[in-house]
Amino acid sequence: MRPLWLTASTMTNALGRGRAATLAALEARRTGLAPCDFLDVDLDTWVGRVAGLEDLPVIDALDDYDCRNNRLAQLALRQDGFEAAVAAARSRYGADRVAVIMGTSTSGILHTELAFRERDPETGALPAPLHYRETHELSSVAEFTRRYLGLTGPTLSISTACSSSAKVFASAWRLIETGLCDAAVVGGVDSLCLTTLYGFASLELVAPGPCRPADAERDGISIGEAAGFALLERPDARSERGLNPPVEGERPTTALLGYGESVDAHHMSTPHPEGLGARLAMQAALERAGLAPSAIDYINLHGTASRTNDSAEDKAVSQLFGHSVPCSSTKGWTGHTLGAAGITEALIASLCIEHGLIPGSLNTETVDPDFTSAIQRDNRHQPVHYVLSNSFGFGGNNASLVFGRIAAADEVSA
Amino acid sequence: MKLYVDGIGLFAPGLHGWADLAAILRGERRYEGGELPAFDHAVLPATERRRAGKSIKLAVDLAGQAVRAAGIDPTEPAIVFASTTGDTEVLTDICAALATEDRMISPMRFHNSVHNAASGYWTIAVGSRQPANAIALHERTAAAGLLEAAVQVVAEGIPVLLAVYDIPFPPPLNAAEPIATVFGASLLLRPEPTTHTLAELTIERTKEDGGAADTMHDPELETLRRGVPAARILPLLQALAGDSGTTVTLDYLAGQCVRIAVMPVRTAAHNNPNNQANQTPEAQP
Repeated sequence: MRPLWLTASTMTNALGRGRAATLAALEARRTGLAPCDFLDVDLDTWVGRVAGLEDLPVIDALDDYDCRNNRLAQLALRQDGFEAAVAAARSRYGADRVAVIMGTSTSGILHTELAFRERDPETGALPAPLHYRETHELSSVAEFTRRYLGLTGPTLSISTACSSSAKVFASAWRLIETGLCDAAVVGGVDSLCLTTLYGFASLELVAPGPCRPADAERDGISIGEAAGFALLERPDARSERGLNPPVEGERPTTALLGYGESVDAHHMSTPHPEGLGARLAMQAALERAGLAPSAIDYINLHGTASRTNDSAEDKAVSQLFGHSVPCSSTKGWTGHTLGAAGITEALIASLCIEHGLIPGSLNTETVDPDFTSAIQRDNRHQPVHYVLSNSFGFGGNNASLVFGRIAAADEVSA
Repeated sequence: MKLYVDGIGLFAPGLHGWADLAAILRGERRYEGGELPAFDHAVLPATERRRAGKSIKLAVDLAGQAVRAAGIDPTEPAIVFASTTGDTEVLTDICAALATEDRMISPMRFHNSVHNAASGYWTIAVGSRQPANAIALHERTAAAGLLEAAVQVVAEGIPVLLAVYDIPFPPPLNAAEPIATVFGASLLLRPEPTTHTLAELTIERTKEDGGAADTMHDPELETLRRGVPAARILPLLQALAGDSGTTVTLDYLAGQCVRIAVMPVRTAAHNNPNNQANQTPEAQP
């Protein structure tokens, strides 16, 4: 398929604000997970929480949208010069030629959860106005982002549980390919809430300590919150506007080369035991990228640290890639950020390409002896040209993405 | 973007199946609402049938209708399910439970709360491993769903099963987010015409102020269109029921519309009424 460039990106999660904070934590092998101190949650678990959201309301002009999820979106949008990069794209293409496609699993449900505590004891009525549409409906964060950035292109919210913000890349590619827009802001935002904390606890999927992906003793996930955004552009659309080669300092490093989507058709909350759907998604992503499995330098696993996910993913990866392509999960750093996991790990893939880094799986002490994929335990530094990133969710919903380094030759020929 | 409609499904108060609505849209009788039909979700395995909530049953019913009408293997099309909130009842139950002392929510209710629960149940039932998307855009959900499905058909060259559907919130959330009733429609869309093709669609996004979206002449249907986000697709269904080509406009983002030129396609399959008799249980995929 025709590649799309990630010409700007930004991410905020438990590791801190902006890409540099995530990179520094990856390099230093410092986790963002901590014992859960979110609201009055009484679960024995660790979370990856973004500090300071309580004191960072959204801008006055969008105050109907004020909720934890949109606060996290706004905080992320303000890092890494992302707003300025989008403003430049807006003037290049026109506001209505830049799409906004956002992934989220639970949107601003916390706002409604807390409103239920304030119900009228007589009538059961919720406090009014609730601003359900602006805070909790699934397109709330897409609408917030579109308004915050002043964009009027095609807009969409994708909510397929933990694959949501990986699938935004596929939808963006198709919108650009069919000419409905010239560029797209894609992203994902999911914030801590009672539904996911108590919901995953009800499934006995939450670990009592920090999650340990691929470890023989792994005992569940750690839930995190995160936001991430990327500006996607066609290199030839940039060339037509005299932007290639880019000026030094604004040089994009990473391109989306492929995506693959599938479902398991197996079970609502348990992956196919052999990772069949996962393999189909990875295969489709490689085919679109025109790459053999052996070309991949690093696989960022979905790697939630649940018993079944990691085992199924190991089987799928081993079947397709053999036993030597380095792979790891970065959820020991960020926690499982659910609907924001796809974008978070896509942007970690971009950091790996930019800085020649293969992060070793954090908190993984003893790799499960049944695993046959090449799980990395220690950080490595080497040139990284191609990264595959996996995101799998409830409903057996799978998405895999392939990212590649933009070579200087691509800039000139594009 | 040019694509083809091979099958249509419909669920609304007093209406079950495309033939029911098409007769009204052709002016053969008036729409008078009525009771909600029983869901046809026999395709779900017994365990899933017990676990499925209302929005899942609705989506599965709609998906089955469009697939049967189009005569397509249900494992073939990619899936786009579009709904503003998905299962409003499960969501309300969860928020209520989390406001109690013990905060216990059932594992089943939790996995049913994800927006792609319906596509999960459908793909498990029919054994499809095709890509499945679950999307939302508040009252623009119908147009957004049509665009996402059409873009998949055209960019990937694959058939896509689109279902748009909503169910109302129970109290107390119904006061904050009123959705008038249960409504859903489904379309089986293809990149090339087949013997089942009903119409050719040419879809574009307009940025100029092309005026407001089309409304329904029938006041009851217009009430439905305004009252349920998914029912904003009704003007397209009106055009699909007609004998001649026409252009319709659906609500999209502020100041923008999705414009669809609809050209009916006459094929031999239309003379066989069984193609649209999509409620026969033995015709389950």
